[in-house]
Amino acid sequence: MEPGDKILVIDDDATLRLALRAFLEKHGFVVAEAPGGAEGIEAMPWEKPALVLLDLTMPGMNGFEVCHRIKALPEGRSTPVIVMSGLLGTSQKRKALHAGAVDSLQKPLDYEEVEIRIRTHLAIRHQETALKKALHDAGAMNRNLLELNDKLTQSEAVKTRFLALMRNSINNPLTDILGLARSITDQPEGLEKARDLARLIHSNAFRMDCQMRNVFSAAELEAGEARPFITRVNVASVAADVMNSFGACASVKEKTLDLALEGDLQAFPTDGSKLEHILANLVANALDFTGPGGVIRIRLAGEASRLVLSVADEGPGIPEAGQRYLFAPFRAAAGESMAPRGHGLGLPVAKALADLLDGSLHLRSEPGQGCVFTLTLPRAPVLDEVEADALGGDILIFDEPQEF
Amino acid sequence: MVPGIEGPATHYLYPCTVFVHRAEYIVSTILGSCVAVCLRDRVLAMGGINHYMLALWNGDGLPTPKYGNIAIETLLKAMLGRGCLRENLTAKIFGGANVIGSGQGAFSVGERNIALARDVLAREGLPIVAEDVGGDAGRKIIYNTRTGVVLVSRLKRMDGQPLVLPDGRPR
Repeated sequence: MEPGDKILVIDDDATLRLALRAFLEKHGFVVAEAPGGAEGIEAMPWEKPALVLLDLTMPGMNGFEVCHRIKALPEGRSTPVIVMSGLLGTSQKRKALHAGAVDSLQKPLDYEEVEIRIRTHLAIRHQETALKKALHDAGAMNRNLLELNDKLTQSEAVKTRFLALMRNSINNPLTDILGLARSITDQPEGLEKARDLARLIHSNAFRMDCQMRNVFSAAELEAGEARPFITRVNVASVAADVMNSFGACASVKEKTLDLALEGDLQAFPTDGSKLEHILANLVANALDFTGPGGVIRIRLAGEASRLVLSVADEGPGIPEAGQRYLFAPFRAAAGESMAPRGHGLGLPVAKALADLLDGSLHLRSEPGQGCVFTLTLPRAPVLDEVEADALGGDILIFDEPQEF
Repeated sequence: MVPGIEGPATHYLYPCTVFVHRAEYIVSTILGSCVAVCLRDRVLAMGGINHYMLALWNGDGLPTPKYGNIAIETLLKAMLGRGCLRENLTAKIFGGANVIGSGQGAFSVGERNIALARDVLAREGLPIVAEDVGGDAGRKIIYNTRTGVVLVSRLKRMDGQPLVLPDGRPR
């Protein structure tokens, strides 16, 4: 109940109105009076009472009619009306309820009863108001959520379109530029100057290409849409391809790539294109951190149950403190005095790809001694075997399935 | 599944990945301490599933669905993005076996993965309507994205004893 709730008293008996006013004001209510039904109805829009006390037997318009009209007003629809009468029989009470009254009081009035009934009905009215407000708020919240949901759905669609656009309008021309620059570089005759320029074009476009691939890979990995595609891979030729594509880049910067192969590398079961991507990122990272004249050593060893690949650079190395968030995106690790670390996505992408292939990627480094990144990949089961197995194969033994 | 007979498409779900499709798919995966959460929109009769290895992303590396909090968020977003309504979604959770030697501190990796699923799903207001979690045995699950029915069988050794995979990947 709010302090200062307004009660409108409609009664032709001026003495009673006066007495009610004194009593109600004493109990903290604000009181408005009307000497008849017509005046009472007229007072509703500006008095906006919280509750109406209405005499049933008045000259002119009778109480039932007044009650009915009050309930028909927009200001009166939710205002509780309590009727008062000296002749309250059951039928009278029923008639009052039909006219929209919520309660009745027997005259002569028992003031204590008046107060209790007023407070009860005001409490009910306040609860109703609060409930209506809560419902309204919930409705508004729901609408906001739906709107937000629509926006989210749209932004998801926008992202997909954005990625498609990037692929078509950036990646494809970039591939063409790379190819064209390469073919100029490879021309035996022609101007020496043009060949040098083409080398630079190729080197820059190649860096952009690496970055774009990482952006797409990161998006795919984060969406959980990147999956291994396991075949028997000639790992040696994958490594040779990477050497080949980075060769021009390295020679522009006067750096050397040194590849050493050990063991059986002809048919290792893994995802060839993901392995290539990991190696490319490790080599790109090493190139970024090796000074002119430096050597990057890449070692590939095929063991009985796993493949071990390491990339060692002659850079400044990374102190232990800087290794903590080495694989966090967009965070250049220690060795800040050197050139900024590429695009900040290469190592995180390499790590996530290693995870996807059930492998591991570790760094061993001491300041001044350079970095050695080591990738270890297990022999992966070829997809067909895995899928057949999971769907009911017999390599692994299962008990009878249960339904959930 | 008999080869050569027409039926729904199949998908093998690798760890760290999420799969959502409007069409009917039979998705299979093998779980050790990993947990898979299946979400299903009962009105659209479409479903999605993830397969995560660890509970929480630690801030190092990409935020991929290798981690439960990312995997559930990604799955939910993918479902909502395909027109599912949150209030029509129900969840089922599987996996989280105790793998020997995987524990760090008081809880095993499996237990932490299960607790995370319950926590995130409760916070998202998605009711868990079925589950088969914990225990010592690895599981194979086969999930029909249209009906939402999940068939779970436990891995056994040749001698009939339960077998646990090191980290949810078939060897």
